[in-house]
Amino acid sequence: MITWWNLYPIYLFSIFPTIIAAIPTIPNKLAFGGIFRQWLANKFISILPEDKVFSYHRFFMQGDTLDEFIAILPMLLVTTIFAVWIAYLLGTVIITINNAVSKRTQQSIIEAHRR
Amino acid sequence: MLSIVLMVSGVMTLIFSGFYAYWAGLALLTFVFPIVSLLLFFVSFKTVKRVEAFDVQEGWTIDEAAEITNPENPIVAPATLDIKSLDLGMLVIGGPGAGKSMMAMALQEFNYKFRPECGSAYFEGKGDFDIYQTYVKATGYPDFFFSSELEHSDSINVMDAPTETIIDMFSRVFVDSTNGYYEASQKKAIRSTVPLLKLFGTPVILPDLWTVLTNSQAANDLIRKAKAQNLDSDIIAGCEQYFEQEEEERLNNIDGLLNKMHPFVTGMVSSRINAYEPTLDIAKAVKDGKRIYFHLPLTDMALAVATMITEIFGVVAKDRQLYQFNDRQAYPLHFDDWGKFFYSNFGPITARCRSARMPISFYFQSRGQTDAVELGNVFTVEITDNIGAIWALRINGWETAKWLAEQFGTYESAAVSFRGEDTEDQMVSVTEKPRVRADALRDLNAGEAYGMIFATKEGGKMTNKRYKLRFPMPNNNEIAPTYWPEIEQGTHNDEAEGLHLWRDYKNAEATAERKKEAVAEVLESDFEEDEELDDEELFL
Repeated sequence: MITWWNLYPIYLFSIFPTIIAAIPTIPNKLAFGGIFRQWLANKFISILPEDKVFSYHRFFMQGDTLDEFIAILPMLLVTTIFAVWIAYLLGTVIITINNAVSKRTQQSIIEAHRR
Repeated sequence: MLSIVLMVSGVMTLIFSGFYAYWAGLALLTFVFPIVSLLLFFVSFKTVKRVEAFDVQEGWTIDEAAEITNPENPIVAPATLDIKSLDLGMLVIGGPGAGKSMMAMALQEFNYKFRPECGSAYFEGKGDFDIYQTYVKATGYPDFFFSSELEHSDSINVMDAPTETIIDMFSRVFVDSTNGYYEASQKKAIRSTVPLLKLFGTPVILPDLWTVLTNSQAANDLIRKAKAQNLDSDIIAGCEQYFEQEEEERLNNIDGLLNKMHPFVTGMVSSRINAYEPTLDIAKAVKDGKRIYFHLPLTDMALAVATMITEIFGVVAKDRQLYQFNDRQAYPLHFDDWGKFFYSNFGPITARCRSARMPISFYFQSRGQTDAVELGNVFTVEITDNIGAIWALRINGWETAKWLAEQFGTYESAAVSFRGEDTEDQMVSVTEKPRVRADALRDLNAGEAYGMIFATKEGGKMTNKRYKLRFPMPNNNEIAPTYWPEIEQGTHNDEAEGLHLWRDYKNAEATAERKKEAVAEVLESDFEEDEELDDEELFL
């Protein structure tokens, strides 16, 4: 039988968005981190009131990588929440299927011993 | 796990709402996100799986305890012994020095502190002064103190009970059951005379019964008095029939009965159990929630007195069952060191007392003491079935230890093993093990006990919990006494209202005097009848 303790690697899935967002942008070589940060910033802008969009946009565009990271922190939290839930659902499915099988096996062995 | 995920989501949503408020200012969503966060927290708390604990609402809390329902996974935590189960009575078995009396004291201290409105009766079968001292230190002076040996004690009247109870009680205590012929005669004597004595509605004592049985003049006078008062003719006829027997043969048949009765009529204990106006009215004491200390060190006499007192408690229980429905406070009865005091009617009395909220707790040493009551160990089975909890303190004998260990039942222990280090092949072995080993009962320290007791929760759900625990020592709440209590004597029998057969017929002189009075009375009544007859004749 496996428990959540055995599935500890799955927790790491929750910090996956943070790791991607932390990847620096190196011109002509590595652009993935920057693209992800920009996507998160756009998503955040879509839920901001119109009059507040400008100031956020300016902070994101004019800042360095650290400013970019700070700007996308709110949306990073939201994506982390989603990641946590995905990890949880995945872990639950694995545990349920695995334990159902071993429980049935052990139960049949115990019953056989009883007889 | 779900609640952890919900909690993490809630925390993150809260932080997010802070950032959002920073960037968006007072927008609509600024207020929505904190609410979402709070909702997540709420759901998180709600999804926490609560162990279905039988949280005992009210009870006696023992600090040093471990629940051993599953002995492989004991729960070491203070145990609260449910008050409802304590009110069903307990069976406490332990060898000498195992801590039975101290446990009894500690339990009474709990009642004294937390249920002062409940009275209690403590029957002490050892008779040691230090037990009385500990009792007073823990719970204060008892309201009543009755002793079978000490002169200055409260007095009772063993005949202050319904007729049928007295007949049962005396048949059990005074009748020698070794010879069937004499047994029948002696029971007949009790059955014929006790109803007549009780017929007058005035207090009756055991010496009155003795007088009726031994003094035919007293018996004849009593029958005549009953007839004159037009009392129940069936009872009078039954009694008359009994006294029609030839005097010498009748006395010969009840010789054994009189012999057994004699120490209770004239002996040391007589004045304490034969009071027309007793200082201790057990029924009233129970009703008023008073505390009674019965000092009954084991002797044949104490055994008989204890049986009579127990029967009186049975009567009180019956009265509570039938007529006291509201505000019936618990009245625990503690029978300490009571192994030798068990008798066959204890089972029904236990059941009756329990039902009347007068829980009986027995403290004794050996299973042999309950087995000795009846053939076939029926009494042991009955008494264990009638009780709410069993506690096994240190046991010396193997047979008792083995029997007690069996009471705790078994549990299933499953072990999983692997055939090799690099294989997934599992082997599961299931064994049924005793929850408590007999040997473990012999290795307990003073006050330590294995026990099982019911625990209840709201909705009437019940479970039987098994514990290993150590009962606390009683505390010193009051100043220790230096000597036995000196109880003031109540009204002397000669000054009290009663049937007074013993006083009026106690010797030949007094009997002759009564005889003269009776003859004079008869002559006078004959004279009156003659006069009436003459008048009638004259009239005609």
